[in-house]
Formats: sequence, C-alpha cells, structure tokens
Amino acid sequence: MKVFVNSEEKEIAVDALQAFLQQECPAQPFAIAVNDQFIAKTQYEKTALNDGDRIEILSPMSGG
Amino acid sequence: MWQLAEKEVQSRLLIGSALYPSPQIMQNAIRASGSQVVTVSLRRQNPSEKNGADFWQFIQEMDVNVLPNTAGCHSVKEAITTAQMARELFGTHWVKLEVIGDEYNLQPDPFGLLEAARELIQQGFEVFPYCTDDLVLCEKLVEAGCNILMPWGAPIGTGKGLINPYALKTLRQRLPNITLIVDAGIGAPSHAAQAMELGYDAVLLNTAVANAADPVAMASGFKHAIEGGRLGYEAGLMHARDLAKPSTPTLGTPFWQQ
Repeated sequence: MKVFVNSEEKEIAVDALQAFLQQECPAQPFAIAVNDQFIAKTQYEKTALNDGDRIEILSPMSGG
Repeated sequence: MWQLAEKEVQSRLLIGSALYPSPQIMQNAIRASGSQVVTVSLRRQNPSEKNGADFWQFIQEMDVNVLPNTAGCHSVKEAITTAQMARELFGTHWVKLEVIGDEYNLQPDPFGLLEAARELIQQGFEVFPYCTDDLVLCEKLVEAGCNILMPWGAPIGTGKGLINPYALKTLRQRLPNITLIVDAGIGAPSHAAQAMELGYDAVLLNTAVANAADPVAMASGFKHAIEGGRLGYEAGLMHARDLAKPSTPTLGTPFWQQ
C-alpha cells in the first residue's frame, strides 16, 4: 500500500507501524505521528497502517 | 538561585541553539552565557543524514535543561501534537508553546495559543507560552494555568529590543507572582538589561548571540548585562525626573557671591 513518510510517497508491504519502523530503521532518537496524531512508543505495536496514511518521523533539531 | 517551574537555576538567561556557525561555537557560546536552559526543536528526519542524533549529542554533553519549542506550528492541533512528540523525544514536560498567527512578523495567534495552552496544561505540560504583550491575553493564559509567560520584546529575529516597554512594565505590575520572561526581539545586551531592570525574571534569546561576529564573546556580554540589570532592579532604581538636581553639594560652592 501507499503511505506518505515526511510527505514523501512510499510503497510499503507491511500494515503495522512496528513492522514499518523495523524496515525503515529511523536514526535514534525519533518520535512518530500518524495522520497528525502522536503515537507513543508504547503504542507502536498496536498501531495499524492504512493506505494513504501520513507518517511523520521527527528528530531533535536546533531551535530558538 | 531562582525558581523556574519546578527547578532552581542560577542563570536568568535562556538561550537558543539555532543559527550558530558551527556546533562547537554553539557549545562554547552556551557555556559562556552561563545559561542552564536551552531551547530546541523537532524537525523531519532526513534518512540520509544523522543530524538530529549529532545535535542531540551536543546538547546532552552540556548538562542543561532543554526547553523544546513548537516553532512553525500554525494551528492548535499541530502545536499539541508537536508538544506531545517533544515530551517523549526530549524527556521533559516543559514546552515553549508557539502558535504563529501571522507569517509576516511571526506574531503569535492569541486565540490558538490560549486554546493549546489549556489543552496542554490538562495533559500535564509546563507551558511556556510565547505570547504578545497584551495584558488581557496574559491574564487569560494565567487563568488557564500558565505559571510562566514569555511576552515578546519585538518580533522574532528582528533585534529591535523592547518596542513596547509600557506594556511589558504593565505586565510586571499586574502579574507580580507570575514568572515573566522576555522572549524574542532582543538584539543587544542593553535590551536584555532593560528587561531585567523592569523586573522581568529572565530573558530568552538566540539570534543576537548566534549571529554576532563573535558569538562566544556576545554570550558573555549578555550574561553580564542580565546580571547587571537584575542587580539594578533588586537595588531599586531611582525615579527619573525632568528637573536637574546637582549631585555635588551646593553648600560651600567656591566663588559664589550673593
């Protein structure tokens, strides 16, 4: 199915967030939102992905 | 020492981590500033780079308190989600809440800010709202549960200093028990000293240090200006007057003839 990862379209073969992250291997540390909803680490296993989902993977960055 | 939320800190300077010529200069400038609170943000991860991990390592080496921001958020929903992600990522319930209402001068959206602050306080956050100097807005934020307010001195990155000292002074007088921090618009150490002389608890700045010709020296300059301004406030400033009054005793003035 097709999802959007940090606004870039991506074809993925899994339908669960945990499996997606195991494939994607984002650099630590990171935090996740799916369709503008924050997903806590404790919820990765329980979060299903659907076609068209928007996944945000955020990292620490400098800021003012 | 003074109380910032649940922590006791020495420095009254909160400093940003952006715009420095290099990570090393950032570290040296933050150390020179004496600041114990550093603002950080969250941005989309670029899979081909590991900038986020490197940056976080630089900050962790400094043993400071981090204050994540919601910079760039234009809606209540964006700001709340960003704050939730920041809480997990940085391991702190502090958040510098920014909800931008105008793209031209990056002016906070007072309505969105208040709504987001209410929600985040309910969720257990210590909200540091970046707000305008409007008294009614600030009172509403306090009613919502904010213990700390961060009114702007001037729009972000302008370096104009305190463009409305009257409004800032009014906030200090009307909200004596709230921690007040001037955030944004500070361009020179004298601006920071002025904020401290008004009785503000602290100053938050970034660009004035990071964009200086010598950021490390400028950080030190701000450190001393803030300490001087605070000492001046605590010592009790004289009242300004229109009529000149000699400081040298007039009694016994030489060559004086009646």
